[in-house]
Amino acid sequence: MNALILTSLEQGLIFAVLAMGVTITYKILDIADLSVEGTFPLGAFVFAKFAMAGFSPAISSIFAFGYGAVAGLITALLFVKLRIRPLLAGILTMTMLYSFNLRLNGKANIPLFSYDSLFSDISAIVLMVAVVVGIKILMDLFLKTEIGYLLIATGDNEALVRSLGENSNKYKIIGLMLANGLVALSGSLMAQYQGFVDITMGASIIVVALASIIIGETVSKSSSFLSITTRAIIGAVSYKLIGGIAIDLGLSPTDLRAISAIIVIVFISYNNFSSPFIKSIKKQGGRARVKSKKPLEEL
Amino acid sequence: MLKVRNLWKSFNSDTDFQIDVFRGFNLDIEKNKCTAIIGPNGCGKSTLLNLVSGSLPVDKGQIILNGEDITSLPEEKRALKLGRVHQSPSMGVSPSLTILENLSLANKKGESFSLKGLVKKRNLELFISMLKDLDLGLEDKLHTQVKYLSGGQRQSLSLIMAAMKHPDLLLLDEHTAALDPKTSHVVMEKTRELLDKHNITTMMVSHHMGDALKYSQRIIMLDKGKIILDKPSADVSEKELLDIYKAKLAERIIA
Amino acid sequence: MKKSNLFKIISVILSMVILSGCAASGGTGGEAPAEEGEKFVVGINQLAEHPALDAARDGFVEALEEAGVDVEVKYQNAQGDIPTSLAIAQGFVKDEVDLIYAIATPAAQSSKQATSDIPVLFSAVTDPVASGLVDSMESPGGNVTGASDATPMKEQLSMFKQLDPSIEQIGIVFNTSESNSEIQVERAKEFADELGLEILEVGVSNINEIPQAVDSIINDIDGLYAITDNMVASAIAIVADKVNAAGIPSIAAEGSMVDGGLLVSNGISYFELGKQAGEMARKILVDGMSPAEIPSEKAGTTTTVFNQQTLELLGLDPNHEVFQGAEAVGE
Repeated sequence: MNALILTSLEQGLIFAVLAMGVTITYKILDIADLSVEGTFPLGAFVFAKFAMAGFSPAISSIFAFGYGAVAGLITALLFVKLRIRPLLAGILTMTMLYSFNLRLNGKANIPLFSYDSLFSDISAIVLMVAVVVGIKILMDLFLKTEIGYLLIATGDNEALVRSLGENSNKYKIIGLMLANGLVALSGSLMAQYQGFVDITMGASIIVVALASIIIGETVSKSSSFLSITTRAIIGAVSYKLIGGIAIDLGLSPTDLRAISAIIVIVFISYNNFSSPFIKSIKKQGGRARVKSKKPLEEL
Repeated sequence: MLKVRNLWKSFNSDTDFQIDVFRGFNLDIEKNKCTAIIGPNGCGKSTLLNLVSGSLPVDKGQIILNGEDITSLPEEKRALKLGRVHQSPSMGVSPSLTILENLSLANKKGESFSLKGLVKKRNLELFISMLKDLDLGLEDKLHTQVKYLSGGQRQSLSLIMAAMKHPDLLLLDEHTAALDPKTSHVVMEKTRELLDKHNITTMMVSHHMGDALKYSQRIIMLDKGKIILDKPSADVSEKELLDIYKAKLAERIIA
Repeated sequence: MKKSNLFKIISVILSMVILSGCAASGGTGGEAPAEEGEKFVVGINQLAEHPALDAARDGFVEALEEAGVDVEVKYQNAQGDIPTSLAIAQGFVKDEVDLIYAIATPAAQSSKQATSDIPVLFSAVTDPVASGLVDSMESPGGNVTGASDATPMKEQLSMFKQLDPSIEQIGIVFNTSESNSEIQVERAKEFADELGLEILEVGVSNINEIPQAVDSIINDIDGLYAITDNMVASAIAIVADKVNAAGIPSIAAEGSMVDGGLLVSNGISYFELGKQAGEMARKILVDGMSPAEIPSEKAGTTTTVFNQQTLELLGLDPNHEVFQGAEAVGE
């Protein structure tokens, strides 16, 4: 397989974890959480700290998830308890994390070449497929639980959650913690994949996440049988693949950014407009509206 | 069943725009009946509902439900004893979830939410029979996302969801105001059937005098935070209500 | 507008961008070799567009040309994006290039991650050991070696004492996101102790914070030392204005900052650094040496430049030994 395509797939899968996390805040809870620009490198720096202290890469990655969840908790508390607007709360957390990340190891760039990583003994693509599928299954299961449904309901209609006797703030906190935990995990995976940690890792990460979500949304808009997690995965992988193809075609990365933006625009236009051509493709979606085709008696 | 004692409520206090809605308001709602509350705009009927539900805090006074003082209980705690249907069909449901999922959520009201699966097959029969009672064909659409339903269908669903766990008090907040006359009629009929079947104590705020009279046992008219009429619905005619209404309107214009 | 028209327009724009992109990179990509012979393929993995990094690239290419080595150069620029630099490195590996030349620390690290067989040469890396690229400068011990842009800091700092022995407090402004900068600040502190100086450092994370950062220390310092920091380099004019107006002598780690208004520099040339790396590449490609056998180097030559206007503004004596044999700029 073409080298660039393989790399794009691997990186796309690492970002799929990021996209699944941001899906929780951005799509389900409808909160624009900009703290991810700080939580992504947080995961990487935390991984470095624990790996250098002698912990196994698996444990270090789990710690990364944990610290990410705490960061999400901070953002949540900022806007739930202190009534700071979510957008601002996210930016505040991101700003605090910048200093925290630097303090964790005292350095802005940390090489990890002499430490074990999850990728040391397994091929990257195999590991990432396993990790992404695993997370996806866990998330899908979670979203089918009582708490998971309340999370979705919180994003849909807080009044309903309250009418059920539940506190919608509790679920925003859960959502932000879970989301940022996944984002930090993604950061720790990227650090292991590239072999070093750098404070600039978080720059533009929100663009990657949102582009992945938008592309995933659009690619599978008409087929509601694709779960929200699958769409995030498809979006992240597509985003990186498009980038990889562009580099392969000889495009310089500056043009690459413009291309990505244009691709996203194209995808959104596909959503919003309906020419007869598009409609005929979309018609298959109508049948997919009713989720299950089993007759009632079978249930 | 519901006692409102010495209720005081103002908006924009200590500013030039202070509005005093209730000054020492009292009200008793009896059990197992539907009490309609009507009145011109600004009379306080919606505010009253919000104060009872806990969406708004009282300035002074007490709200006692079934002998329990709920005045300082937060909205979500009160919600466990109440049911509420809002004016907007979107406010009582989760649009991106299916009918089955919405009903499953409503069914868990009052219980603790855990990591167990929400949708349980053993509840299906119950849900289907509830939907069948509505006679709207919703039992065939269990897996349709609620956002694809019409306003009337959503309100009917909201109604079932609000009443499902037999709340002590059901609050209907102009719940047909956003629907067209035909659908409105259907929903009101379904409301009456539901109330009759389960004997639910109901407080119904309505903008429609005819509906208010037809579907309630007791009618209360408010004006500027005071009760100006309180009679059994059977003893009042629509004309009588209209006359009072017009008189009050005239008063305002002259004043 | 009609949807079919919209799509046509979008397709046209897309094609235009793709074509212009191909045309642009066609120039910097490799040309087909005209003659046969031992032709080597070298992949250049440059982190970002930046005068210093560009100079390091040009110097490298010129060194190989001057040595008569037949190379096909594949140049890729990651535009500051680390995942892209990693993808570039991996691409070079799969293309089986003979050598990878990585410019800047993250590009070097990505290249090292991508391969432990193909020789990797770096430049514009301040501390190759701390960055995990080599075991030690003398014995790199792997497939990576190169030319470090670590400045002759001790010589530079001692110029303060040469100018005026009473100078004690030296201010340093730096970008906390650049690991090279942190490393330099630490080194400065070590040398400062030896030289009888004290470092007062202030970190910024955004270029807009630089004016305030300078203001916050201007009353406490006797001199300003500008390290090789990309962000400070971009804002050097305003830093220079402030220190010159306050009559504070400034020493820069590299010459371009003196063009920007600082007083004097005894620094390295990135072009020359690139040439050093190019010479190491020749040893690897033509002489068949392995990177582990080639010690990593620091900049071999330094040049002293001073800013004429600044010198006059500060009222200093142009015949002072510090400025002897130095080039003047800013006349």
